[in-house]
Amino acid sequence: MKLQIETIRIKDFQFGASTEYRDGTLYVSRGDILDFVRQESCFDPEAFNIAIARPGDSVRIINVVDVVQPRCKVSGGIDWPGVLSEEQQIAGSGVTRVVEGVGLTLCQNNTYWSRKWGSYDMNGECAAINPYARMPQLVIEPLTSADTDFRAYREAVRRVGFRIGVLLARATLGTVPERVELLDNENRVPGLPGIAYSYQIYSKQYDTHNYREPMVYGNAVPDTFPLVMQPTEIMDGAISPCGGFRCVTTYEIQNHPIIMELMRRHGKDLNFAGVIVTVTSVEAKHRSLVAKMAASLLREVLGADGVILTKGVGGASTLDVGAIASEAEKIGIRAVPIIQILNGKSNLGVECLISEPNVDSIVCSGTYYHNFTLAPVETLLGGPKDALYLSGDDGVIEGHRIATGDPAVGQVRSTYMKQVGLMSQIGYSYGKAVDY
Amino acid sequence: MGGKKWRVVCYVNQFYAQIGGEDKAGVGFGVKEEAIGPAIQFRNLLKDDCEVVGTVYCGDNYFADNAEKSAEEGLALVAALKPDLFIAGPAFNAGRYGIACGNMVSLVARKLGIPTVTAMYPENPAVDLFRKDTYIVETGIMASGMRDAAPKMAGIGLRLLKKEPIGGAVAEGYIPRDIILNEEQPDNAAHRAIEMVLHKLRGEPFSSELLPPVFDEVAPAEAVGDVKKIKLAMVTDGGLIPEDNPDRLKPNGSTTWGHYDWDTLMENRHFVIHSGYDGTWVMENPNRLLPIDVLREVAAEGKLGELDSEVYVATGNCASVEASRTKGEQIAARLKERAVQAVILTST
Repeated sequence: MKLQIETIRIKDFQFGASTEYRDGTLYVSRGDILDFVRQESCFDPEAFNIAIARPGDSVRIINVVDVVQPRCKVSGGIDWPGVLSEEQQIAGSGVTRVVEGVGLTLCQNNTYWSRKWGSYDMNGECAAINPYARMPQLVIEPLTSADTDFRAYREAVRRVGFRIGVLLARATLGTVPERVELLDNENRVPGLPGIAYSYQIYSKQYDTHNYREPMVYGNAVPDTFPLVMQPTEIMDGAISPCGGFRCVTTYEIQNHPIIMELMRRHGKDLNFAGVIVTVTSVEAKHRSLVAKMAASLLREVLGADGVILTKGVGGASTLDVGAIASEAEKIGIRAVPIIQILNGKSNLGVECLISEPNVDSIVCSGTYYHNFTLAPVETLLGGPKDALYLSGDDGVIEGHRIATGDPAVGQVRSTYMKQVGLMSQIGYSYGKAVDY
Repeated sequence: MGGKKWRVVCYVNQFYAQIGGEDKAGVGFGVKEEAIGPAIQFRNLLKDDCEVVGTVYCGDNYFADNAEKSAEEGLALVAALKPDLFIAGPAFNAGRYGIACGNMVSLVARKLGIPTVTAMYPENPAVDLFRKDTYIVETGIMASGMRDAAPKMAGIGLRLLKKEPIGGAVAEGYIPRDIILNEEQPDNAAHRAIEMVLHKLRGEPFSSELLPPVFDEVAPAEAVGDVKKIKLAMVTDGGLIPEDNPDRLKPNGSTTWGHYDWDTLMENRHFVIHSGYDGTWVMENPNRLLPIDVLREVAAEGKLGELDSEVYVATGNCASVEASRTKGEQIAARLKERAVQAVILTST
């Protein structure tokens, strides 16, 4: 499967009377956005906050559940099949327009519903190492009444965000793209090693009320066995989170760093052998089978000599990628998992959750609990002015307030994991855990 | 600095104070208001910014006889010299000297609130006791390692005085203090992983960023024998606790646990504080986490001697190995007190 991506780089967002692209600036019409809002019965257009945050602004964005890059299909497919349409099509072929240099930040105003949320600042210590803080962001904060069903709300937030992304990308279509790139791994070059990617997209341990996130073409993810999916398919609309921030954004999936790099090196110093998709097992029996099936697919179907593995958030997820990596190594496939350290008060010698001794090549993209103290900001987005910055992992569980926080607009304590953009489960981030 | 220099006090044992070897290990505390032994190196290394105003010494046996009392005695001598920085050792692989250096830096740091540095061989028994309290520079096994260790110790000490950042353990040459931090790399994790797998495939050297741990071997306890005669307790890491969270468990990274009478827990408001799983099904029926209902039936039928009325609850989510070990020891102590002979541990 081949996908052509054509990229235009824009400099700024501005609000305007109509949504259009002029001289490097993308003008956004509030009216156009509110038209999307009106399509969702759970939103009140009168209580739908839209703001622009720019690099260096004294702005903190809270309740962040996703960041999205504006993209649209130019040909050969539809936008977000299964999410923005009932129609199912396989994504990943044709031509896609990519708008570089800006992002859409989606917030949820109820921490109970989101269960996991992140935040980030547009200036300061964390902003200096955060890709999202280095680009203008259109921040979307849909408010809703307390009796709304959280499932409907989550999905409506995603739909509105994706519709805005498509609208903005379409506004640039009259302009010739600056870069065109063909992502194509159809033909293998003999003699080069085949490298595959094992992508664990989901763990149900973070479900709320057993709500399975509709992450695959808008469908809920079951306790599935490993699937073979096309690399371009994954980045071009087949997979997107829906609900809580768990250290992967849609932006990162659209720009999937492993898929993009393997594609770009395909035929040069490696062959991109393909992708398998897995989910976290909650039972040892399932884990054992998934690990063996995944290894078997890697060798027998994809012909891989090596594999990169990534995980969803959490400890159980780490055990799974460790098990797959171990099974892969047993049948001669060199495996490199990317995992994280789940705490900060320990040492690397004891905190690797993979315990199979034959998994001896691991990338560690940091500890979740590298702490920051962040200075007060002038403007808070994503929540009410008096919102609290809840400490700990979750502010509220099952309606129980289990942590108290400082006012989010003031000085707050945060963690690497909670800063959207600093920790990426799929390898987009630059951090590495180090013993101190 | 305007001519004013920071005051440094050093600590050495009787050997480095040139009083004598093992035969003089019983000698008590003394002070020289100058740099002696290894302190001379620190004086030279730090001469632009600091002055070594004194060296406190003590015999290793004297110190080790009552380490706590000795440390207090040493502290008084150190405090009298009004130091800004305290440097002990290096102790290399000397066990008693290591204990003395560790106790001294630990107490001085705590009581005087000033930066401290020492140095030891990683297998010195004092390392594990004190590495979280100070910077312990890693040395070789022999005293000939002084030439490598001293500049590292002086460098760390000086930057602590200047309130400049100290880098990671490997880069700086000290023993990890059980703090893990992130450092931004030139390449993202995806690129590092692809490079690593290609190196591995080509048989080229590569450096894994993490390795599977080598766990302690835990010998299992003797089998309980006749289940009809034992008292059984239920232990979980599932975080089911009373509404008011009396033991202050946390959703993740928790260092505390609680023991609760099951019936009281059930009669009053309770919830799942563990944030690593969806507690919906446990809240619907807590016996899914701790199958007390079935165990009571089994006990009523006489197939189980007795079921402890209390349950023991922790939150496993993102807990460190050390915190878990401590919680385990505390829970085990409580179980012993209540004459429990066997436990079933349920996880989530």
